Amino acid sequence: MSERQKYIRNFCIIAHIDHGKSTLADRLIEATGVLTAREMEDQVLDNMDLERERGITIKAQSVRMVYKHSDGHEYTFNLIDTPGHVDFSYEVSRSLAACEGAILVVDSAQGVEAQTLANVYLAIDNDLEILPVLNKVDLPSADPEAARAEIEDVIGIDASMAPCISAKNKINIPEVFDRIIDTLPCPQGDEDAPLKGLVFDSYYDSYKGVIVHTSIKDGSVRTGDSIRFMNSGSVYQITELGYFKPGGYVPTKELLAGEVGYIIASIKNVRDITVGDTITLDSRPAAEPLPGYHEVHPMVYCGIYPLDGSEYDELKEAMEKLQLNDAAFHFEPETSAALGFGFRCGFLGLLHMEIIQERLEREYNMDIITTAPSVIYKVHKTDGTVIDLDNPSNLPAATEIEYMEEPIVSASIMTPKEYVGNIMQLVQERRGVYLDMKYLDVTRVILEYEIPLNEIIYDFFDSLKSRTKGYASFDYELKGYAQSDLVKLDFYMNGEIVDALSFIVFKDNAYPRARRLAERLKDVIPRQQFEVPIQAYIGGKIIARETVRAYRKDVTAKCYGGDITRKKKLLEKQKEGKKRMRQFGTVEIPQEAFMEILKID
Amino acid sequence: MVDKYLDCLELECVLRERLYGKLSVDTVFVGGGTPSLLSSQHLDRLGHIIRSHFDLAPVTEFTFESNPGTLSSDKLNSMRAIGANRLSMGLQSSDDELLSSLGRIHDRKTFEQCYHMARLAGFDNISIDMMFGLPGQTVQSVERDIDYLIELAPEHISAYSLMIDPDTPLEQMLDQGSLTLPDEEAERQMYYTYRRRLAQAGYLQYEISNWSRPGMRSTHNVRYWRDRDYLGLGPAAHSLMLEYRFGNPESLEIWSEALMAGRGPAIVHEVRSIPNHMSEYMFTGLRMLDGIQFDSFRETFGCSLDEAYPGVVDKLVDRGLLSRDQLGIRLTDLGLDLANQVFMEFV
Repeated sequence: MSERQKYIRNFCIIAHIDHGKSTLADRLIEATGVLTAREMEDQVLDNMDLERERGITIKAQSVRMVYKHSDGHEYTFNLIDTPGHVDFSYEVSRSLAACEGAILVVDSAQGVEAQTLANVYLAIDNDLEILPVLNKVDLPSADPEAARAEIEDVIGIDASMAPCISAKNKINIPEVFDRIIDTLPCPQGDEDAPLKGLVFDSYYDSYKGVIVHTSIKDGSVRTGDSIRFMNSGSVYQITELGYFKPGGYVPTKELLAGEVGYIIASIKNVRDITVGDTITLDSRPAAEPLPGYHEVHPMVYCGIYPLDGSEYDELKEAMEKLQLNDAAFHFEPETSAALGFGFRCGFLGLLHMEIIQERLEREYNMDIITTAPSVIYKVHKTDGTVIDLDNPSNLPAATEIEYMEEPIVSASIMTPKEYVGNIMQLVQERRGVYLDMKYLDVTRVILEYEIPLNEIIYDFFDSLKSRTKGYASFDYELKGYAQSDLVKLDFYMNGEIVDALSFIVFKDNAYPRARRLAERLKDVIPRQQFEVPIQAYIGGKIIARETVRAYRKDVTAKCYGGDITRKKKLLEKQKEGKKRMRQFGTVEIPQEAFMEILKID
Repeated sequence: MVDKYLDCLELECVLRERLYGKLSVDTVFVGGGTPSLLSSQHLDRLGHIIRSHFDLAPVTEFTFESNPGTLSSDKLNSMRAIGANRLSMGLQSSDDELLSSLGRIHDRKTFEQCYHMARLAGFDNISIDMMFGLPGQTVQSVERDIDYLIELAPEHISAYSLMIDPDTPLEQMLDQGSLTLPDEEAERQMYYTYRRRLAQAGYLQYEISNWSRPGMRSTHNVRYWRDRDYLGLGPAAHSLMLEYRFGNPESLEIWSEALMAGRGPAIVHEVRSIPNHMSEYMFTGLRMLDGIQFDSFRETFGCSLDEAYPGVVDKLVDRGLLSRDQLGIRLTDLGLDLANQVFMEFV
């Protein structure tokens, strides 16, 4: 190991939402003077609008800092930010593979949460050294010693040296630096070995092409080098490489083993780059690639269609770019009788789905329609074949089906004990099977359940939050498949089926859900010039019916004196609203109608 | 305050005269709020200002808007003296209870006195403004309003369906549920009642909300709907002059400050593009029951309506909202109820 690498630390920060991860990251950045005070925007790492609004990190960001230690040496810190939500554990695993250590931030008033646990275990599995940090110690309700004990009991790591800090109020931040240097290991790459760089993320820049984020495990790489992506086999010449700074890049000449940075090589085709691939030198390739990440499989599927059919190609391009730095997002073309050409898309969970939708709308300015989400059902046909069904519209006729299976997840819910009753009721409504309940301490419990995945892809997380005043946290993983009595629910508007609204549901829940959904659709479908009957069908049978009444009046009595411009703006706004609707035969259906399917409670 | 307002109005007239020269006008409309609040002396001065900066020789229609609670025979005589020949009076409803629930300061009796006073002062062209769809109003109550109108026999009637503007006390009361509006069905019945009964009484409906005795349309309002130029003076006034739209700030203070500082007060400026011109031509013109003539569209824009809006008219005819003959298009009865659905297709 080279002397140089002793002064490098590559680490990430693991924390539950709101426990102060971004604030701590900001403090570290600030303290190392990467940015001047004026450049410091609060939470510089959450630089997507969406992230700021929701207060969560979606995309991993990276930043390089130089810290002058009291021992006289300058240390280089590469902080690789990680997302905090259960849906994004794939992002976390990618970030982890680029690090040697992880800072675990725990809110000293709230203690350890279920999602934190999942990510900490992931880090431990990846052989990362964990540095616990107790945040928010200045809150009146803070109990750092209890939090310390909990870390030791629940996670099983030594927390005796955990710094007590307040990232918000800048208490004890220097101690964090000292502990990073003392506790977290430095990289131990072989600088003279053939190049092995782990691709842990990538972005698309419209001028420079794909920007590859890499952690150099062995060897070194320079501008002008020809690099080969070992899995895809494609070769490119490097035009620029360098380090990260908050919100940007700093070019340099070379990246050496142990360093983290970016590479630009005029890569125009976003498909040539897969996260997890290994970069090596074309002239002196490594014998074998780095062990890849375990590939992530989507759990939830839905159709995404352009609102305006002519924007199909633009939508495709936008999705390709999104996929570039979101390995878990899958899509392939499909067609719908109601919606025309679009894509069947796979996601890790419902939040992931919402995030992709919002990013398509905001960052790529796409107007899209999303169909009812679905999981993958296994349909055992009478001819002995089994199909994986990710689109309810493709369900074979009932006569061809022997039986169906649906995916089941193991779920753990961590909650203050007073909400146990509420949670039990909720999970029962969602067909959950109770497995176990463990006391974490005198006030909190972990509940273990098996729940059909199709019961949690809708609004389970929201319902859980609202029934526990936001205190419960939730994590799940796929357990397997189980036979189940399932039916397909179809909706007809004005006598025509809208296939994009079809979904598969547990038979006993079908009637109440059909009725509620028909009522909701009645409310979100704007009145039109004629009556619109809404009918819910199972097989050939109507099980619910509602009617959207025709509008009687849509006229502005006055023209506002001479202010024609105002009147025109009102008409434009009305027309804009109409544009956001999609014509189905004679009926106009707004995007919101498709979102209603998601809400059960 | 009124003196200062008139000072500034004069400054604005001077400004416009500098730009456009002394304009010859054929209609004058003093409205927007309650000009009848002005005293006789102020009205005299207002008349003097208008006369000094505009050529009023071609005037055929000179309207004052008025609020019945604020009129007197002195004021009416002053209006007449400065050239007004038409009075617009806001009655809204003949039901005193409804009037007070709307926060109006007048009642039916006050209105009636003012109406007769106006006749005595020589106003032989009076327009009465009515409202329907008011909270608590019924179709029967509207029938009584129309009985009363027919008895008064004004030359012109405007009947407006209530519009709830956001952030008004009325909106709040509706939100809180202390007031409820008639349902859509009842509201339309009220409109149909106006249409049926006023037609029976010899009034001609010439616009969505306007009726007149034959030959007594408001020439001034028709200007707005027929795409003719107009110049607006005072706070919140809007203008269309030579394909240029501009509008003044709503605030009296901001408007007057600009003028005192020797600046033009307009805060909204827009050079009208041809597509904008076309859509305005369509959605204002279609408010008129005469509708739009194919020939005049072609004359104005050099292309046919179908070239400008391919397929749109066919679609709206199919939906039963427009009727079409060899000369042009106009709203159908259904189109009068759903006019915005038609207008929307042209913006």
